[in-house]
Amino acid sequence: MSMLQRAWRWVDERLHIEDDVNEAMYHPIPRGESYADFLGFAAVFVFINQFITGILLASSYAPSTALQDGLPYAYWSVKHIMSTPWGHYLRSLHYWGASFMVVVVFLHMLRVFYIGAYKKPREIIWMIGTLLFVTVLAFAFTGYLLPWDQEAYWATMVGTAMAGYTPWIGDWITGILRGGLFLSGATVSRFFAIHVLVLPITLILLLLLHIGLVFKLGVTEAEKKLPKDYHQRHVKGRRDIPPGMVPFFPYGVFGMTMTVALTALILFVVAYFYMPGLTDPADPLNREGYEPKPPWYFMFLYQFLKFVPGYYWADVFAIIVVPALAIAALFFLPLYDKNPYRSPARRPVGLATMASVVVVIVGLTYIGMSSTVKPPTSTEVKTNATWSDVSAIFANYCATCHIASNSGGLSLASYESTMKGGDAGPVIVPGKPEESLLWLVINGKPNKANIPPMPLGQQPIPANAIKTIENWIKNGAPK
Amino acid sequence: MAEHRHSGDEAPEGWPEGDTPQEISRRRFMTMAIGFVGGLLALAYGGLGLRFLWPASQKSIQWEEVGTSDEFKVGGQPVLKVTHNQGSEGGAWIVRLKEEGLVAYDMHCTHLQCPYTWAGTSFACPCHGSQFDIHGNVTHPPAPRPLRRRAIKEENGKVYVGGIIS
Ligand code: FES
Repeated sequence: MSMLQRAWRWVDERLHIEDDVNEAMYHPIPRGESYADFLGFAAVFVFINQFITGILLASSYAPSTALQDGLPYAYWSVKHIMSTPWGHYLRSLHYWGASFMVVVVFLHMLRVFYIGAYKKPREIIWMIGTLLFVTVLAFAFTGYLLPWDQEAYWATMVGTAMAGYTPWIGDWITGILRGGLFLSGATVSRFFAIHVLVLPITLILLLLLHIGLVFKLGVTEAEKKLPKDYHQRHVKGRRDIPPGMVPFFPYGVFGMTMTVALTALILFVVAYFYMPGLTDPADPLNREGYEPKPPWYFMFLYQFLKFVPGYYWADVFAIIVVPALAIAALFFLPLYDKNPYRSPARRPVGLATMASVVVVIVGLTYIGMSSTVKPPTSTEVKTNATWSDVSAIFANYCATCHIASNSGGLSLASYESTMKGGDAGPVIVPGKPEESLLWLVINGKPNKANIPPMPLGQQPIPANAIKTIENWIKNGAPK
Repeated sequence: MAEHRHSGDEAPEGWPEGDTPQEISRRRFMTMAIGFVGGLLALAYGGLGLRFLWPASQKSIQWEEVGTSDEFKVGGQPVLKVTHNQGSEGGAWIVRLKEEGLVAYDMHCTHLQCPYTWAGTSFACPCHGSQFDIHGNVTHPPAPRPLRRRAIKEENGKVYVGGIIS
């Protein structure tokens, strides 16, 4: 008997866990499971990545806004971490890990939904899973503030302001979250405490329950393949595998390992080639006119809000009621979904609902991403400019008010709507830039309609882009 | 009674200890004591946490000097001034209006608190496109309410800004 075996004997003599361990490791699973069934394990891996990189980052990060070399300490410390290649890569892993976490957990949920694995008797596993999903979002939200740069500051200002729409107690919740009226050092230390203490403990507890129950109940696919009396048999273990099935170890564990390897590879490569930067340090006065935008995983919400009319109760509905209902709908799904079938073919309504939710979220994310200001793509002046050149410029500089919505009745979303103009009449007079309202306002020139310089309240459009638009109008505004 | 489940107030058949009235009331007492102690501890820590995290009151904001009276003329453009409150930097747009005199608007949009700017003829917010006129009234949604005003006063040719009043 080797040392190891003897040690194991010693433990088992006291705890009697050999049977449980065998049952967990050698329980039967269907042969040839899809890799999508291991996504939950990929999520565990990304969480471990966040855990390790997070501890390392926390050893150098300072949750304070006191000044250090003229910079807020939090910002300074992140900059300091990023000043060596390894430190920068470490932050990149944590930064990308956050996005991976959201994506992998989301895909895992989709897969579980698709194969109907949330149905009896696994309802509670699904419910705990929804709580885990919310925890992951809370992680992303609180972590986003910590670098204390412009991006972080304003995204959190807006995010915490949203809580202010909770009826009656909104301002109080916002105050508790921020530790004051607006953001300050108190907010950073609060978010840090939540991010590194409250949420990890919550997540670990929920995760242990979640995984423990999966082991207890086994995977859904195995159920129908097991002999009826399987659970009544006393002896379970590596020799008790029904035909057509394989033991969890090493088959399932191998699949998981490969899924983890693939996830890790993608994460490592992406984190290497797309290292995150920092914007300017948080400036509560926003002197440089930074335009706030949310991280991509909250983009759909941001875009959704643009469609909400400006009434207080409409905002309450969109910001508080809809998300709360959405989370409740996810959480209680196994209780109100009374369709007994698991097979996708027999759940047309459920799958159609899922598909439309995914389409809406992906679509809103896409519209949101393409409507925020991007660095100008091309800076050269186009002499033979066509609609596609100018529409690219509009997409970069005018989208919030004139593509996603139509301020002043003007939509620059299509050629036709642009030529039609807005409340003040046509904005393009083909061949005559000086008479075109659009040209006048982007140049900040006085005009009959008394429209202020555009983009409203922002830096003017770069001169080259203006020149391109001018050429386009001169050429008769071709399509 | 073949399958007798122990229901708390009744002992299973054949068990020696019956549910004497004393035994029942003793159990009740202990259950209540457990609940009481647990609840008390939860309240104590919950209260401690809330008290510690409770946001400071608006009233703690002090008057702060932001400039001189002659910086702000009737017909002039609004100017953004730095103010501080509760340890964080903030700002207020200050303008002297013909009808109302000096007014100060908190620099955060009333929709979701993005920083708006003065765009020549109106205040404009870059986040979701809200606009406000020089009186702070909404001229373009989604902002649901006028700009928030801050207390403002002039003394000996100096201008002071205080906390949010509307
Ligand atoms: S925050 Fe200003 S419009 Fe939304």
